[in-house]
Amino acid sequence: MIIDAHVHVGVSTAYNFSANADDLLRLADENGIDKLFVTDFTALVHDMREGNDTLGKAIRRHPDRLLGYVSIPTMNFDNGALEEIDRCVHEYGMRGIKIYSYPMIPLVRPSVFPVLERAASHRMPILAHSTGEECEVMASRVPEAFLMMAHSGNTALARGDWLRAVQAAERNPSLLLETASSAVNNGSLEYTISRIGAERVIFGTDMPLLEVSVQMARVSGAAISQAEKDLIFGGNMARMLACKA
Amino acid sequence: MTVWDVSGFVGAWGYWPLKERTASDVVALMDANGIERAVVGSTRALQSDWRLGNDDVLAAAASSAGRLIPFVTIDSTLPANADLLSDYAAVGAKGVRCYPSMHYNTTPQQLEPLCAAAQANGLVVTLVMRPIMDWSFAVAAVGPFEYLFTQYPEVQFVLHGMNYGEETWNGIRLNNKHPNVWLETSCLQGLGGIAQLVAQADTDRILLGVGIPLQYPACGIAKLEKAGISASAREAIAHLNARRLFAAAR
Repeated sequence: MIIDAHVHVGVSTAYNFSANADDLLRLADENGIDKLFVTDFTALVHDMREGNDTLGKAIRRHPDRLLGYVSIPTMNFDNGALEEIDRCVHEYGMRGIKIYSYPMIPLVRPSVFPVLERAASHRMPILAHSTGEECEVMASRVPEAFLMMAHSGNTALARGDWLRAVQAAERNPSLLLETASSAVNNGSLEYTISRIGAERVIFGTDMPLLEVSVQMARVSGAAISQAEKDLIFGGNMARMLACKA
Repeated sequence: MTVWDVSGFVGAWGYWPLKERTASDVVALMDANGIERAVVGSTRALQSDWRLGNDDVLAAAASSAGRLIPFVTIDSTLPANADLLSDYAAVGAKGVRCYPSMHYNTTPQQLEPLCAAAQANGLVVTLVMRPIMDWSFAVAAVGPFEYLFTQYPEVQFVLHGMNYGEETWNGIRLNNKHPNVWLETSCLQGLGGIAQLVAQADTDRILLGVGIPLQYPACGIAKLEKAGISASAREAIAHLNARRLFAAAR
């Protein structure tokens, strides 16, 4: 089973994409992806509750294909985030949390830790668009959380420093690395697995921003075993989701 | 599908552990991924010694039985260096790669002697916005260099390294405006990027870039294989356009 752990739904004027749930599922079908773990763009950058509701309704239409992240803007960490997490779990059965760091609004601040703790209490994975340094702080402070570093450092925010991401994961056994990125550095996945094991690498595409076939090929074309590919493509996420609170 | 990669490299790599360093390593990687020929520049010339880098890449090509097509790099801060291009052409160089984002002193005006020499010697000029799609590298703005496309109309310019969004739109604009501007795909990672190029740019001037051995070959090839374009467009991008470009080059 292939589970894409990094999917956006909605309209982004900033990134020039627009995709509803049906668009995403068509892309998934074209690429052999079974389930999509989705964050709503409106919830992340505009209106938390409106966006999470939109995603929740899409999940109700496609309960076998869509998994939902409760998206929490940083400004909401101490302004209704915990209630929103509980609401989306109970109303829509959302299974994860998405948080996002910006250069001017970094997510590591005192108010992020209760969010991580609430995620841990629900056994919800957290997809954090962040840096290696930020993930070190969060993973060491709340090691019981399933913290996934979106893009594994391959972002402008993290200066493309995926080696730093690997080092952060080596020092923090609870930290997982998610694969989606424009960067396709040859040997990076093999090196990552040699340092932290395939059990802590999670497949994602960042659709509909990035070309899905490229993100698939990064894993399928890597010089690693089929068992390792299976873990990355979905086995690891399935194992996390099987952990009940 | 026959594949040519117009965006390859050869040499040691100082940024992360990489197995493929030599010409034979690169050719073996090409064989494993079905790549028939690759245009290569020297990794040494990216930030270290361009003269030794050119020696590296020419030697690599000479040992490859025609599989590697060498591009050299010139320090353009001294106009007299451009005169070396004819010497490099005489020993097999097919083009020159310019790295304004890596060679921080480069101005468009400094590239004029290089472009003139390329025009005189029938060499392709690759203008590299970023060498590979890695967020740790700076990105060059192409705008200030645009007048060179008009000033040297016989030179075929390859824009190397554009990614999604405004970079794609700008590349398409330049391709449409200047008949001597070609686009390559090694850093083009947006959803449906190649289909967008085919729809909006001149398909006959789109080149497959993979970026071996610095980028995963499977990624660069998959985006073309899966692109929603015609079979003829796919073949043109995969290798036919590159064949035509280098057949025209002396």
